[in-house]
Amino acid sequence: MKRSNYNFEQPTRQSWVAILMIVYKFYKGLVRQALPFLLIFLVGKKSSRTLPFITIGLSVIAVIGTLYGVLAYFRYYFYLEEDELVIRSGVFGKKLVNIPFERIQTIDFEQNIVHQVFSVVSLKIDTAGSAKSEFKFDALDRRMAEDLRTLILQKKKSLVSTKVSEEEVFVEEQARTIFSLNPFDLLKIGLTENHFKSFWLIIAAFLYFMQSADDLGFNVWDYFDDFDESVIFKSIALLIGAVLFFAVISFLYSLIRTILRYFNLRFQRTESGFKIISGLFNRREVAARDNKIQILNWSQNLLQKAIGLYEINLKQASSIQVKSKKSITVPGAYNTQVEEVQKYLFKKNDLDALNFHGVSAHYFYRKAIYLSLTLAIIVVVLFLIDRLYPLLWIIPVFTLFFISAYLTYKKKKYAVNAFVLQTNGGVYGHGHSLMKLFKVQSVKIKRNLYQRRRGLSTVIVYTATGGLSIPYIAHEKAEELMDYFLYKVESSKAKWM
Amino acid sequence: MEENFTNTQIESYSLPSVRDVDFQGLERDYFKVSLIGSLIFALIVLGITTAIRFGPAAALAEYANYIYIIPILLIALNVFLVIKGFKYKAYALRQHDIQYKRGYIWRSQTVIPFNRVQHCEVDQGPIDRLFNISRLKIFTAGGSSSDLSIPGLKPETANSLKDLIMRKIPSDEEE
Repeated sequence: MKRSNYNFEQPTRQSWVAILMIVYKFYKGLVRQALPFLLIFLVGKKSSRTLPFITIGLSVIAVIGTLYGVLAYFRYYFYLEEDELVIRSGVFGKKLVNIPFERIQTIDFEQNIVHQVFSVVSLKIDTAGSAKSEFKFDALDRRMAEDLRTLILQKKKSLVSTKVSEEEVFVEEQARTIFSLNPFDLLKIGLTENHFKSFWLIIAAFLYFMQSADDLGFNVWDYFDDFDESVIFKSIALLIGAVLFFAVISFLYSLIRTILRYFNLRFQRTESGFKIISGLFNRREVAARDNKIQILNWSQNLLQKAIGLYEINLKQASSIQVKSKKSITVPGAYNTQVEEVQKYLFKKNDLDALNFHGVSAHYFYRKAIYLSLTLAIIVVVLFLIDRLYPLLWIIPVFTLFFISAYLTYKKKKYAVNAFVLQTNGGVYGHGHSLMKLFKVQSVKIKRNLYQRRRGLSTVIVYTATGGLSIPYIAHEKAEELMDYFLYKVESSKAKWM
Repeated sequence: MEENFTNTQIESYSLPSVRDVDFQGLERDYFKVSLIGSLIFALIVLGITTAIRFGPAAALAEYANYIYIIPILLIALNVFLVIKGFKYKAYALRQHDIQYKRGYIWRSQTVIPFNRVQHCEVDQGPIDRLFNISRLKIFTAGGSSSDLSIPGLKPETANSLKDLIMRKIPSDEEE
């Protein structure tokens, strides 16, 4: 064990850069709270009488914010005790947080642009246990942070290994880069993103902006009312123009988002896990240990399929009910890299004899019946009110729904062997999910009326990061699978995390 | 981890099956509790509808009463499902897991192995207290959709089930 240059048993402060972060967070919170007022101030008429007050008010707030940041910084210490990390903080009151090493799950680094300039990192500590279990240092000197992480993980290791446990703890070790992205790869990923997603996001943002502007008293919609609607040709041209405009915007949005998020991405294999580092302004580093990974996903949409790109997603169990943050998403991987990840996560025989089965065609029929009924009702209503021309777009939309339902059914496949469950799905693209059977948390069989009449069931397998479902299979088969999954879980001593 | 785990092929028919389990129904009093629940639901829905009826919907004049149609259908459906659904709610305990099934139209059966239980809770709502029944909640790491909540148990039963499950959680598990 290499001795650290830092003595963490002494109460230690963060890097002074933390002041900037605290002050920044303070203002961010303030601005978010007061956004409507600020907008009114900015766009409203400024009379010479109110101006001094605004200036004084803003300066007072600025002074308070800075004072708060400095105070918070000086009142903030951390140190290591025998088997826990202790953090003392609090500007007015006193706050004491103790995090036992054993409960620390992962320690991640994050760098935004300010961190990068001053070569500091923010350190995020994720612990097992109840809801509020995340802890964050605003800014630590990079060296210090690395030492601290190594030390904590080593201490944790020695603590854990004295108890009976096979759990490996990963210590900062040599990492092998599985792959990294160059600007050209980035461009490919940006081009093959799901542009529809961006498209709807942009439209929603646009509408929201218009609405807010409207609320604030700008008559934005008036500009649009000025168009002469009686000229159908004009309005069609306008529509096409608008669609093209939004298409270009959303395409650019996807591209920029990709570059911001995945710039200089490196996906690495560490001794017992994976690590991903990426980002242009915000450099994020996320680690996932093998035993915390519950589900491995890899997928491609139509565009990605055309050039053979996959997106890999490692779903990690986390103490907090978090969003996508805790899982590692790796865009732009090729088939060989997907296989490499599989090889790391699964043993040689784990993936043998995976025979894929489809699901019952009723999975499609039921949706088709509902779609037909809805369509029939719409047609009848339109017929009654004698306005049939909406069918011009309703029919194509429904055709698309029918095709989607059919493809969903066709692509739904599952396979089970003695070690793993894999499900495949997707509508236009392909999605694959793979998990070890002992990672199952609970099993559910669901049957609606339609399924019961035809002796079918849906099996859902829950893990610590969501479930996999096998829809519309024979009920006997469903029960058999349930029995088998339960047998696998109940006879296994392996830890799911 | 799994190195010394033998893995002889098990024919599926030799596995214990969830099919052969004898289920235990819920306490009869829970039926009353559910009905009172439905009654409260009905009162709230009717209250809101009436407020709308004499508030914004008063402008509809003689058609205003039609706005009761959907709320009344909803209440009827709710009562129907409570009455019909009661006897489909049942739980069963096996050596290694606990299961609960429910649903008249949408049936479901959930099984949680004991070695995946995070913790258990025994709850009693205000109406439950009147009839002296409890609810057993079993939590896993799988999130709310995979957790179990078994209503309509006698407090003694709920507590002894809880104790039993807590004992079954292997002590070598740290979390």
